[in-house]
Amino acid sequence: MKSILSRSISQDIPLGRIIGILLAVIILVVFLSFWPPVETAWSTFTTVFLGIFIEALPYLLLGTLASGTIEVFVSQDAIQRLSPRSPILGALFGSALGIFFPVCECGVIPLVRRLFRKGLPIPAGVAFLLAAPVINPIVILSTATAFGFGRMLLLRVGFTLLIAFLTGCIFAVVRTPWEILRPTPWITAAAVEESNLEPHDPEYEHDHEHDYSSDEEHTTIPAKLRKVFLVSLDEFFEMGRYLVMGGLIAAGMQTFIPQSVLLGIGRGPVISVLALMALAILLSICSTVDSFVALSFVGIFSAGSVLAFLLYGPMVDIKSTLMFLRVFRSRPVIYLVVIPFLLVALVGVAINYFVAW
Amino acid sequence: MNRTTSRFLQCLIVLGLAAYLADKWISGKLAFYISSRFFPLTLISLAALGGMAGVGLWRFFRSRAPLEKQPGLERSTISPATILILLVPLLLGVFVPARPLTAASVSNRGMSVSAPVSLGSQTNKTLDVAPDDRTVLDWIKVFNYEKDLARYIGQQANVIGFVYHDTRLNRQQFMVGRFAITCCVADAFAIGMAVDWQDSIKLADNTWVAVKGPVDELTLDDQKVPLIHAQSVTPVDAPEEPYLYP
Repeated sequence: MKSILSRSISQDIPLGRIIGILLAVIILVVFLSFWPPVETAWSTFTTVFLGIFIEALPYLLLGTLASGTIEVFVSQDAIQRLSPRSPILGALFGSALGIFFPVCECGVIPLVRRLFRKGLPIPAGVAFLLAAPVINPIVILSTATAFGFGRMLLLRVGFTLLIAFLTGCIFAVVRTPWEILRPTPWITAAAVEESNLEPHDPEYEHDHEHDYSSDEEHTTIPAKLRKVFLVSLDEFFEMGRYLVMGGLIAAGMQTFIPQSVLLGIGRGPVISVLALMALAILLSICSTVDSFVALSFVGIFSAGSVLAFLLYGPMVDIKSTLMFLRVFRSRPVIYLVVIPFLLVALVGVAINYFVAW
Repeated sequence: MNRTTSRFLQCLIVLGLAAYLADKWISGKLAFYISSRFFPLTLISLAALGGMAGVGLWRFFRSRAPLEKQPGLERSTISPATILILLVPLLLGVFVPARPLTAASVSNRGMSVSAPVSLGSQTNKTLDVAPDDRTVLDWIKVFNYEKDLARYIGQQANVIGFVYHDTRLNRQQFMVGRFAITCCVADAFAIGMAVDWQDSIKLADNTWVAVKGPVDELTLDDQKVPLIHAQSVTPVDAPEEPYLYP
């Protein structure tokens, strides 16, 4: 355990190389965007990337501010007192918890990691992670605006709860959080103590001497508020890079893979479900607005596939998968992507076969 | 780079992002990226980024104690490589000229002649727009949702859009197209009306034009779609809000 912790702390990539690559990429893109033959593709690429980034930014920032607020104002005791001991109740609790946290899939990830660190049980956290981007007032409202108060809304909410709950229950087999969570340099003192871990990294220990909570200067309200912003600032950079990388990949896919490849697939009861789930991953749109996009598929695609788009997109897409990798070790991320995939595909196909729409 | 420098760099990048967003908002170019319906959300970004940069920088300049003696928060916990990744959107935003999606983006997305747009918000009101005020999107909606098309045939259309030569049309025709977006350009789809115009071949793709003429129907891919028998096709400036919102 000790070695895993210190390894992840010192996994920084050489700085010079990163700067070099970044500069090369940027020079290339700037150059290409002035270069007539390919001008338009790169211009499209940049525009789509910035579109995704600007659109997702406020939600990510709200998530990191919520996380910072919890770090500073909510004690570990409170979380542990509130969350049920039993994994099944925990998963149930977690999947409904989103109603109090209006965050989308970008915001939920920093938030859930913070809650884990404050002692939220794994089943509850996993269920919360998957459900919160849909089970929250903003998204329910936007879905209702797009589809009306009808069965699409009910099915979306119902199946999101169910799938998040089931996945949360599957994660109940995990005994200690550290089996699946990736440690970070700023684990709280209590969490480290609790799992009997001794951080090994010298820089970490150096930081640790200045434990925030024991500091006189950080006890007044303004000081606490300042701390919220500083904690959020670091988290914004940590999570923001996945938004950037995910956005770059999604923009690249959108620019260079013709959508007709997917959209041509149309109405087949199975293939349409898989196609729209793939599109949900590729588009990486925020859950707060994805129902308007889903609306544009009604009529072209089967009802089951539109539902699958609405269920899977908020749980998994390119940018959130990259963010998962920051919070969880690799194997749990595979489960987090695959289990909901199978369940959502099952629901979508079943709707297509057994429900007359 | 030590951790105090890292923290300083973080604050500068966050400040830069806030300045970039504010500039795009003021210049109206934010509309190239997201639907104007979501502009207020950018205020949240501005407030949060401003707050973070403000608190971060204030800590530097306020305190007289040597930085190393101060509590841990002055020093970033984030690696320099990570910090630099957030420079990517800032540099792309500042150095690549801001441009909306163009006709060239259509080739990858395909041009729809029958956009299945917003069932939920579809009311008679949207179809009731005066013919002269109808956008490309409104006409597409009319042809999508109106049962009795005869009422609309022969009405005078007056639309603007970019020129796109669709391979499904003949040499005397082109598409006058627009992009419709619901939240941001990631979900943009292109829609277009066919236009009959003798000099179609002379128009370059992506030129913005105003097209006037009576509307007729054309069957394309087994669907009835609007066709304008153009009386005039005049070049115009690209509109400030380049996209339509369904």
